[in-house]
Amino acid sequence: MNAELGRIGILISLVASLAAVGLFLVALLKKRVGAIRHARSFALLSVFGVTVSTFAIERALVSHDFSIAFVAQNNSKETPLLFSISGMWSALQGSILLWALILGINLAALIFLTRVRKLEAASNWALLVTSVTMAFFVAMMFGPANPFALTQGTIPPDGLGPNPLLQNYPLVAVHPPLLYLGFVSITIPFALWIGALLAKDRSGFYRELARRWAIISFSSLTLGITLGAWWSYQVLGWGGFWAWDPVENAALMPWLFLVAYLHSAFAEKRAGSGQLWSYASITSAFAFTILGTYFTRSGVLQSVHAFSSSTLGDILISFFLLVCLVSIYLGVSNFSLLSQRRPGSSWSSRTNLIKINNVVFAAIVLIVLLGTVFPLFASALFGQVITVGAPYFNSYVAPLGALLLVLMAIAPVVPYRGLPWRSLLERLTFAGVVAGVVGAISVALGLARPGLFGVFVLAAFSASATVEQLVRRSFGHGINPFRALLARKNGGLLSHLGVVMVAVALASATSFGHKGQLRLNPGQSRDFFGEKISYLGTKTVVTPAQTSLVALVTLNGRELMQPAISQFGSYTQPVGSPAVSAELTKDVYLTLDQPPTRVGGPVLIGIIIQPMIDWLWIGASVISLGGFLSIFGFRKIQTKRLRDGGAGFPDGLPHDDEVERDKGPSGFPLGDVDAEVAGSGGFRR
Amino acid sequence: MSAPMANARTGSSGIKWFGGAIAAVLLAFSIFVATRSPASNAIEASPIVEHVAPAISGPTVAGGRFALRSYRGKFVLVNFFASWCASCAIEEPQLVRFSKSGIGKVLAVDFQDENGPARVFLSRYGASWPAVADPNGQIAIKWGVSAPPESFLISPSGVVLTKIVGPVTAKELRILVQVAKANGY
Amino acid sequence: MVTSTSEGVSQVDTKKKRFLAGGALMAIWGAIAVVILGSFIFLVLSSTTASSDAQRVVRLEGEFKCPSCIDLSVAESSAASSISIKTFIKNEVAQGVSDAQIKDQLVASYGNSILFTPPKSGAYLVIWALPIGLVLLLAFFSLRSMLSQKDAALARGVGNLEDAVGEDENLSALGVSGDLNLSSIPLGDAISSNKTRAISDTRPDRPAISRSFSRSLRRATSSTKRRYLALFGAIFCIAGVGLGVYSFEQSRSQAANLSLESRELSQAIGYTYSGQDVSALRLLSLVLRQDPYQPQALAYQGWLLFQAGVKTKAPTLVQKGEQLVLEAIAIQPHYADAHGFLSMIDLYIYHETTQAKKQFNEFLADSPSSTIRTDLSAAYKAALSAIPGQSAKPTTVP
Repeated sequence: MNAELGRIGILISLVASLAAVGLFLVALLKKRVGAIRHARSFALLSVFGVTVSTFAIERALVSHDFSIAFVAQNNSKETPLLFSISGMWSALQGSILLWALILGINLAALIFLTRVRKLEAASNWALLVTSVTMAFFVAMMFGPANPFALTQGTIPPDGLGPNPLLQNYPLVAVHPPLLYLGFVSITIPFALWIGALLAKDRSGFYRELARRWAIISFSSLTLGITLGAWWSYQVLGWGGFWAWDPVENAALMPWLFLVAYLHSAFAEKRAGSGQLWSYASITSAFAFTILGTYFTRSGVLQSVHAFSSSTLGDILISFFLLVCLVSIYLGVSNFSLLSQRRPGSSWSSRTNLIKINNVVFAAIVLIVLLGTVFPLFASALFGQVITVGAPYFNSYVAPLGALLLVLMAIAPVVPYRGLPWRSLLERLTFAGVVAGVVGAISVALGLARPGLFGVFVLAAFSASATVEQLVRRSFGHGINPFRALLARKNGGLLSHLGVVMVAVALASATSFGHKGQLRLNPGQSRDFFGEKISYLGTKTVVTPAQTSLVALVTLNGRELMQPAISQFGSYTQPVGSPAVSAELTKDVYLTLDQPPTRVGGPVLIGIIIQPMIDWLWIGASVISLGGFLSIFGFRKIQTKRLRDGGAGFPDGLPHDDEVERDKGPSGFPLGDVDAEVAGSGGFRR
Repeated sequence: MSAPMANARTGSSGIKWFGGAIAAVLLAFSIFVATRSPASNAIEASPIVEHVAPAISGPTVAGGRFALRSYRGKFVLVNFFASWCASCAIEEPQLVRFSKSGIGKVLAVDFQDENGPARVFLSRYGASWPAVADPNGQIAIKWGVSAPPESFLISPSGVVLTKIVGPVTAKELRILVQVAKANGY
Repeated sequence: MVTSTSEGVSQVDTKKKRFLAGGALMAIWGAIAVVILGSFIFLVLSSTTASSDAQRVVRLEGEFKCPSCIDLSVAESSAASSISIKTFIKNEVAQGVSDAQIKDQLVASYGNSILFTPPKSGAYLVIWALPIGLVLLLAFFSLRSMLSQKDAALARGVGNLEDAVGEDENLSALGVSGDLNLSSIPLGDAISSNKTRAISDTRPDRPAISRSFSRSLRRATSSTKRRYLALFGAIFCIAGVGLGVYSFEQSRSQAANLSLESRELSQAIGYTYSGQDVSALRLLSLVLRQDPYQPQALAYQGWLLFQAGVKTKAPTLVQKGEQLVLEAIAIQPHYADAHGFLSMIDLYIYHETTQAKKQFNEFLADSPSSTIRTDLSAAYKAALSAIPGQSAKPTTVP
């Protein structure tokens, strides 16, 4: 029943999306406007189909319908409801379905948002591109990744249950959907850009829509990646959160391109700089989501997350190639349009700084890509299995990251039209003084590592410059400072603050941490770098889904912590689950490394102390929040400065607000668009 | 619109070449990646295969001493195991069968383990071969052992013939020895 | 040009109230630079002193990969193998063994994969040098594009204009709004001939649809067009259903177990052709344990056993080999490699050239991969020529 329902859903979705593709092509190439409405209906029908399939798989998972092979492999009768639901994305086939579902939601949203622009070629081209992607992912579920394949032979009385690591922590229910939301929704900005280019559309609408959509993708992807890191920290038991695993890199690379895109799109919107960087970044971001999917779904790279290898690989890499070739072709044939811009007048104009920023991001992506695929080259060229581990990535990405911290401090205070040296220094005086003071204090406190010193000084510089900016924008303009602070245009600065937090947290956690193992008898206590660890004893906890051996440990005599080793259902491999005591200043992380070999015997407790690591999660959330703020924040602040012409900075030089306002934005908020279009055209049917 | 400015910078043929070059690189990259055989968990050739076996000598879990040298002249299966390792228990009966068949000798190395549990483990399966204790894993390091069970087939002349990761079976060991004999070992 | 632009602007600035005098600003920044750079240089110099044993141990632990984990260094992992290596490093460092020797010892037993990053020597230098080259290249190109951009601005006389305005002392008399004018309006005028207009053009005052598009909208309401669309949709639906049924049946028959086997198989076949018989047999038996009727594994195992039998003159092994290859053919009648093997076996056991010829032709008809074809063709010719009275021309080898 569930299998049939799901198959019918996929079938409907595939046929409908192919029909939509065909009808959009007819509409656009043969100029048959009548086809547009049908095309859009078919596109919506494909979304409906995927929704039906999702319902079917969830129903099968929740009701433990083991006649479906996917359910038999990823669910058992003992699996709790939450992990039954999340079972959908705990293996290859279901994750493709989730992908298609989220793409479908995006597709429906795009159809809705362009409903009054039905007759513009650009919107239909964009929908065509999205429908092609949709058809592609749905088609994968037909052949190689069918989530509704039936169990062969007799239906097992009980399933295998999800992978132990995926039923250990509730975060698995949130992390993949958010990550996929970020990942998949990049399709829409990509489609909008391709659509605008194919239609030679000169209205700023599609670029602005793409920019906003990309901000949502960016914020979700940031949250998704962060939750992934957090999950890794809370579940895997090695105390780390980022291992430069191919899967992590696959998520990071589109994120980096998204960041580059958002910056250049901003410059393009405010200062009319060329669109080439925006176009290159957004198409690369999309292409890299496909390439990343390829890396994780084909099994070509060794990874903790790799799903089993399958014929999906060839399909995905072909799609990647298709995306790249189409993007390059369009980019080259529209080169003159994309590279139009207003001239910058000085090297220090913000446009140029953003360009440097984008170059740095591109460099980071290329380095990450190189490190990710190098094992393949090594085995092909030298016939050797080699590892490209974290130190390789760190040694190149860290200096580039430091450069970004500097740019982050400078660029926001520089107007698009440039600034003389003197004024630049003047604007950054406060930040410079703070950086100097922080540097002096950290040396006085005995900081000995130059790299770390650099991070702290640059972080102080960047943070104080950003905070000063925020304060100047919000206070003393005769309006509610709270309202002013939560203005849309402050979103970027807020994200910058988040980046600084992440940088400081990364540096502190990886440099000042302590790691060790304590062998403790029941009732014994030991000190580890100022933390008193007392081991009380063990207890065994049995639930239908798992059997756990829990060590009872108190931290500093107060907090009870329970690191455990658990064994899940039919999986023989035991899984350790750490216990974390989180504080803003430091985390204490305990693992049960070795259970007692006899009753009342000693245990081996692994302990990791990491200062400031919580700021990593806070900082990343702030980055994401900044993205949301720039969309959902207060729109306009009527500042005193604008009325009397005084600038935010005492040097009286223009700030970007002034510069931007007399040119007028090239795009405008969506709400206005709809109203205007509805008023101007008689094209509504 | 504003054509002179846009085209002043780069000749259109230049950008075509550039785009073509990037497309070519991407094409080559895709073909390269697509033609790789899946590499996850690739079984890597051990560097000690076809080299003289590293020495093993030391106290056994039973309390005596033993050295790999003393098996010179016979096919030897060096088996790294531990009492805490689940799949070691699966292969143990197979090792017993191999040992009884008289095709070759078995020398076990008890990896990162305590002698007591190891003795219990071996006697449970009736394993009578010597088991050298390696509590710190220092012997295992010389052999490039990652996780038990791992086994190595040693020729009568003391050369490592092959490394077997995971549980072995008696049947496959018999065939391996036969093939090794065929190849002149 | 640009510098003079800047000066022009700053001249106006000086008319405004500054919160710092020129000298004070420079003094502050000088002090900041001295503090930061001074401490940094001090730290760099002081940190290059020889590291203690404990520091060496920590550093070395970070340079090796935990052999039984993915993505983790020895330092980060508490797996049994990592603990062994940690102990090893501690002992070696205590005995005064150099870093390079410790590294060599571990590489000798584990291979290069024990290193957490590729070695910084030989061909592997490429991966270490590429990022640096890349960054330099990108920096070069972006710098060049910025310079050319500056030239473009210069050629259009924007800078000149700004200079002129900047030097105009009267402008500052306009007061606070002066700088607004200075920076934007004249400049906007100056370039309005090109880009500014482009931007104001982009206001979407009406949807950008072509006339013909909206005209065809009206036409599309005619009933013929509707019928056309309905037909189109129906064709799609029928085609889709057909395709769907077909695909579902396909996916049902070959559901699982595709992945692991094929990986081990391809590796085993690789071993077979590189003469590593023992390793190949080991992998093949792994595959057969999962699926005892895997034709490729059966054929290759048979072939290896046959060869071993020939070498040791052991008829049981030869027969076992033949049997396995026959089994493979029974399971998959058009399996090229198996036919190739069988032709060789026939030739060896029975000196049966006609049978072998037939088998070999069947092998060629199945169009195997080129490497296998050349390998086996050569072996076949050699075998034929070894039998007296036979010419080595069974068929033309493409």
